[in-house]
Amino acid sequence: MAGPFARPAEKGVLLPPPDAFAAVTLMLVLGAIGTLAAYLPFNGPLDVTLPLIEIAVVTYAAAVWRLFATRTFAWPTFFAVARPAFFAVGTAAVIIELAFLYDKTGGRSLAILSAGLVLVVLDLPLLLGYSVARNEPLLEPEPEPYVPFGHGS
Amino acid sequence: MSEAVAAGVAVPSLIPRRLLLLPAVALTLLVIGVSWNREWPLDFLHVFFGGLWTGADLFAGFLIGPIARRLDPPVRRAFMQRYMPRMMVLMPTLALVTLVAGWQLARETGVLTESYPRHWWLVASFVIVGVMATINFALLLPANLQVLSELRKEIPNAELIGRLMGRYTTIAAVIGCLQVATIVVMSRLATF
Repeated sequence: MAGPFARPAEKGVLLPPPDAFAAVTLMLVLGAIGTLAAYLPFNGPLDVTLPLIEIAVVTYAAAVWRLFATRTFAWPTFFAVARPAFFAVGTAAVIIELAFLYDKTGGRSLAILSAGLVLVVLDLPLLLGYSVARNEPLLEPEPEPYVPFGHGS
Repeated sequence: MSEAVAAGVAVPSLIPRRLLLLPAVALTLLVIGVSWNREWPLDFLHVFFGGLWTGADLFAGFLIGPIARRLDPPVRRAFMQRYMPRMMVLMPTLALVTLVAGWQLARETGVLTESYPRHWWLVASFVIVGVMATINFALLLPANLQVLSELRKEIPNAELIGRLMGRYTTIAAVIGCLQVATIVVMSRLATF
């Protein structure tokens, strides 16, 4: 029960920042790839790996939505980190994909592994870019809240 | 995009380009190893880069980290400005070469199959690597990048750097412990 000096409840729902969603996406993808790898050379259980990838897509979409919901943000810093990260992770993903193809991994396994890699390539730059850019000073000031009858007008 | 980018305000790169020579050489060796697909080069790449990865993680977590935390702020800043970019390039490269070469080696030698008697030891190593990758990419690398970015400012936020360095050294120590667990699993597999 709340005491007499309890703080009033905050208005609205405070959603997690984009990096939290991006970290969850990474965990889900690694879980799917790990499950698949445990059953090779046979196909892993689709009722485990596919939902993991599907939820990862949803959490990644949530991360993107939370990122763009941040209206004032140090976007130059974000892109200065995210762009090289994208190329670095992309290069790593191409090499991993090459190894899968060389091993003649195919069908359902390759589709899930490739989807997981694509998600990682998109997710990590967002995670790294946001982590650095959120500590940067804003280029433009936060807009003043609209007060209809304030400031003696 | 922002006005700063439109106005041509360049944000300098966090990592000097000359440091990219190491991943270029390592990844070339990896591509050669994977395309050649023989046991010896794959084993060499996996053991050599894996040893470096484990050693570097243990060294960073249990030696460099505690020392760096006790340095005077200006000395720590000078040290971190040189240490962090190298770690940013070195660690992901070592991890990638070790994992891809290890995967290929396991496929080549047939230990990935479920019929392999110690298959579940291998699965245990996947779990450990998965946890390490998550910690590395979701916590360690962002902390590393934030420290680097902060150190480049004219007036760095000392409180933020201190907090991030504390996180960095703790995570590095946790990863060091996980690396020891990987060595236990790998030595068990190698002596089968």
